[in-house]
Amino acid sequence: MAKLTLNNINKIYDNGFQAVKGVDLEIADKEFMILVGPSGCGKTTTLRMIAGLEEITDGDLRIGDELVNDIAPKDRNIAMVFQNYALYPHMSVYDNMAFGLKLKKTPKGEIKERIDKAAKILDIEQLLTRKPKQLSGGQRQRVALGRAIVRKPEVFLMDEPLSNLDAKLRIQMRAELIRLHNELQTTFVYVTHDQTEAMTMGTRICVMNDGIIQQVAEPKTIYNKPANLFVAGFIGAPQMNFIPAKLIEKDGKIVAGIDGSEILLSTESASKVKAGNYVGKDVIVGVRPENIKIVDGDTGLKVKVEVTELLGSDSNIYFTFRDKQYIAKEDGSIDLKFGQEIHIAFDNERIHLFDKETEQSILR
Amino acid sequence: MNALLQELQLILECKVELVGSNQLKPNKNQTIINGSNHMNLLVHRTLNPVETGLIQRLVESSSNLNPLGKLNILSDPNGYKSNDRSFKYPLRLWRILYRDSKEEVAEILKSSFRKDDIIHMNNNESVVIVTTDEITPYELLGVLESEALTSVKIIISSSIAHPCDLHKGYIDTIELSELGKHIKEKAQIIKYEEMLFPMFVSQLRRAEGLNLNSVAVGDSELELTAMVFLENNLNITETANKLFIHRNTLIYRLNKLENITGYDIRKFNDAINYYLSYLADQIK
Repeated sequence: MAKLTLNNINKIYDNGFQAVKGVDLEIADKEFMILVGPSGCGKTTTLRMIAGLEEITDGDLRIGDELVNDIAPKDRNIAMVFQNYALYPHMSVYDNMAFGLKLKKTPKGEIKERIDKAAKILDIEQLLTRKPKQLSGGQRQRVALGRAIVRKPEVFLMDEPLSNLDAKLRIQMRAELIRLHNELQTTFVYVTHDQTEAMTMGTRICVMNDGIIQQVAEPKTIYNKPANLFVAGFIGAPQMNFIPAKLIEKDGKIVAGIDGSEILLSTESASKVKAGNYVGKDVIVGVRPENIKIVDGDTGLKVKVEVTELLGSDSNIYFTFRDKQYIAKEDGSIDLKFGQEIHIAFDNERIHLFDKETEQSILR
Repeated sequence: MNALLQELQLILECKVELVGSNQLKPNKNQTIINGSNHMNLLVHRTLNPVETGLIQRLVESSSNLNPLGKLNILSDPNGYKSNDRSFKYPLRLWRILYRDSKEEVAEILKSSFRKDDIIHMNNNESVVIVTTDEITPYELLGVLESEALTSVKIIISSSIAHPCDLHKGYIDTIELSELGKHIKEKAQIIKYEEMLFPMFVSQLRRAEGLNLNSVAVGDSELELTAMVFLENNLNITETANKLFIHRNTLIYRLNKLENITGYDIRKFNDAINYYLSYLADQIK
């Protein structure tokens, strides 16, 4: 049983800097939890507190039902994988994987058994006699994972383990880690600043900013129902467009008024706006680039094309509206010129609304 | 060390344990055998001088790693004169600090460096001599933390070209780790070259030759913004990306900082002046 429970965890350094502020998080047994956020958001500090590599200033940390605040890292039955992993150059892959077990005085027979099993899972059986210099980057990373697997930990803690790999290998290793998690059926806690890794790998994502948890949910929920302006802007590439607006009731319907133009809200959104007493208030409208469509004729908002980026199957269209730049995602076959005037419309079923003051979502 | 303790317990037929230097209060039925700087053996019976001398030699010979106090290269400015080891110059000293797991750390260091290059080791600190780039400090940190499962900091001296500079190099690493507590508390690798300004300010402060106006703004978010902006070479876009804030928010914060401190850190000279004053605030 390797459920992790973080209860009001705080980290304050000696110089007074508070890196983690009142984190409450429950990570279920066998879950693949991603901690994601920008640089300095407290995600690595949180992971290191789980590992025992950083002291917890305040709060309770439990692995299973056991309070582990004062338990040494090596007695927590965890394994860590970092972005900077080193293999001993003069040792074979087998010896590299055996090193930690030898330190723990594990019997030779058991070491062999564990390494054989890990090598099979990682598909590196044929590499066991090789030296690290004879391995590719991906193979070396697999060996680093192997060193963690042979420990048979209850929890794997990974701190940006793929960030030193090139883009192609990173995509490959993402899939490998998902497969590994399925095979090992162990709890994974994975820190990344890369939202694509977060979206593709995690069973749940914990978005952090400024030492505070912003939202914990499944990837789909994080993307489709962001809790606040920060999560909405952080998850998704290109970033969500944000437009200041005022909510108005017109002929029984709710519209978002933007400098003389109007966006009709869906019935569901309108009822939430009314229920929250937001009619007549200033809000921020959020629209993902893929939810903006170019429309014909005089319908929609008239905007001017600034830049188009062809990405192959898609194109990013940068346009200006009321002197601010926004972005739409269109089919790659579209052909637009700099300065061309186009009309756009928002998919009103997928419009997000945020309170201007609290920056919290109005529609959740 | 565990194996040695077990052997001693068999030979002496009594309990033998490792104790720190602050636990040196033996009663009349106990004997202390001095080990390295911070760790000693507590033997739970009275030993005669011959036994004490023999065990002392056994403890010393059981470890190829010389305790700092015995090896004067680092602790004594003139220690290099009596050093019979030959190191390849230029070299750097890596001072590796760890919380626990000394045995695991020792095994990892022995597997990562030549035996002769590990010139000091005790319960919380090791010093190695590094002349190649076979392993980077980041890689060593990763191995130590993932294999020994202990919190590690690595302090790296300047490049040392002559034996007579070994002592100074070591003293610098001590100052660097102290400064790191004020300036880079979260940093796990501290390099001499990255800490020249803090060292300069610290030395001036010690000489009481530094009296700068404070730039403390009482706003940790604003100070963090300024530091990230300086670390990103005064680049607005990179800093905004790093902090995940809009560039206009960053510009607003920089303007606010200028209003409070008088320094527009977008300008190189103001950035230097602000940074010096900031360091003077931090290093007290």
